[in-house]
Amino acid sequence: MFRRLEKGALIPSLVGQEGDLGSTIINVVYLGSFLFFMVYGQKFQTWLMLREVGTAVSKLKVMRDRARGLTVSFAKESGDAGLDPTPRIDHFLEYFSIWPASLDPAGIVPKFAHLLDIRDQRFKAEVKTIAPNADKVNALNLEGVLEVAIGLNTIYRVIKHFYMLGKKTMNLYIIMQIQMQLPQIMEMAESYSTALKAFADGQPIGDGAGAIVAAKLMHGTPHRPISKEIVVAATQLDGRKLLVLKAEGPGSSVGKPGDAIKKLIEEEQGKVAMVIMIDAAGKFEGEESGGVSEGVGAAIGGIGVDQFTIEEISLKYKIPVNAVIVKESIKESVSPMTKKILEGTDVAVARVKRIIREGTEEGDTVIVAGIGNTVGVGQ
Amino acid sequence: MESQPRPKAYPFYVFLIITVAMLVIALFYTFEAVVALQSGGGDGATSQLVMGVFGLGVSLYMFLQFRKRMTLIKQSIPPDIITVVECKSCGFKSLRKFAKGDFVFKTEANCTKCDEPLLITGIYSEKIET
Repeated sequence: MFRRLEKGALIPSLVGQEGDLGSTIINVVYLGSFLFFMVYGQKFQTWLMLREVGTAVSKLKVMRDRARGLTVSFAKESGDAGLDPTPRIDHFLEYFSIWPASLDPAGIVPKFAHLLDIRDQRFKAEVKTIAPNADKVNALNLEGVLEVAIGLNTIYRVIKHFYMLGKKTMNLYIIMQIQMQLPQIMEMAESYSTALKAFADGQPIGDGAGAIVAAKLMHGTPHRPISKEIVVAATQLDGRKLLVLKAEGPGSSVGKPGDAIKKLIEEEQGKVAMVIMIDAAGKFEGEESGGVSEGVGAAIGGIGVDQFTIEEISLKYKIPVNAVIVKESIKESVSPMTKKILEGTDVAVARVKRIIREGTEEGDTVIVAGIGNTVGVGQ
Repeated sequence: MESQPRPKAYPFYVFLIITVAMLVIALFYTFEAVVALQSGGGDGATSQLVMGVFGLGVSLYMFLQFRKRMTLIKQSIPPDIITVVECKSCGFKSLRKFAKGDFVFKTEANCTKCDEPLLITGIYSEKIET
């Protein structure tokens, strides 16, 4: 019934290829790999994913360390305290904010506003400590650098946490949830990494498109402060009174445009024909950077405090709010401004003028708000 | 912050040696197989050719991975930042490299043509991957 095996013929007989060593090896490898992947397939997949996350953690560490180094050198060069700011910066890199409880959401916006104010005050105090001799522009830019460095450090810590947890448990699902999000996370981290240099050197970033549009409309006219780090200038367009506002540049700041718009509307006793907001906004994949679109609503990012304030006041006085956006990718929004986006701001200026001409009459008052970080943009 | 361990370079060289060895063996197998097939071929020639080509493929893939890794590790070259300087009265326009302290709508030295102040009207980056 059974064929008697000759000495050394066990494996060839198992794989059914006697005599040809090459074919035997191929068959053994084929069958072996089949068995291997059947038994250890998931472990192997876990190991591959873990390796990918591990590589990402190494890259994030490099980015985080560069960010830390740049923050320290910028703090030293912009406002030397006499003492080494490194330990203070190291502590501050792990600074966090605990957002208000949202179990009962009624009244949550003022809580957010309060928390953001405290956070901002703390940042300013910290910058004053680590760079006491920094001028206004450099102090604001250092705030921007610190924000970005904190962001990079947080990304690094979170990814490292999941990597270590995955390594400890070898749980495919823990590793998988982070591995699947890695492309977006890494893109964000790379954007932050590019933004650091821009903030340190005071170069305009993509997010400043709205600020540039406002600056183009208000340039050459006197301006005054209207709310925290926001300036407004009164100018004319075909018989309409334009109140153009933006964060005060060229230091890194977004200001509080919500408060500024509210204050201006109240100053005008609600007699405002239109509010136009210009901001940079995320484009879809395949869309051209620097493209301009228009719509209605408050074009402003962030947590939503400013948007809420603008919506409340515009509803109170029934003022239409129009939005003009300059399209760009997430990476472009925090990277030095590209030529396409800069060209897009000229298109946005023309679009704003057209909306004003078509939507208002001579003698009307219009508020034009350029939203975004004004680093590297004066007025 | 935790201490910063120095990155170890030896795994890279070990993988490189393995890849080169695999490439040499694969080339040898392929050559042997081709010679055997040309001279009438033996039973093992086809499987030898399969192994050789497979080895070549794997080594090529590993080399490509090394190359990709090296490109990623290499520090990205910072983009060139350009400052646009314009004279609003005579229309003179010039581009120069960004200098620290430049900002949009900063007044610069006077225009060489009409002696009016020059204005920075734009600062942009030459290349950013999107």
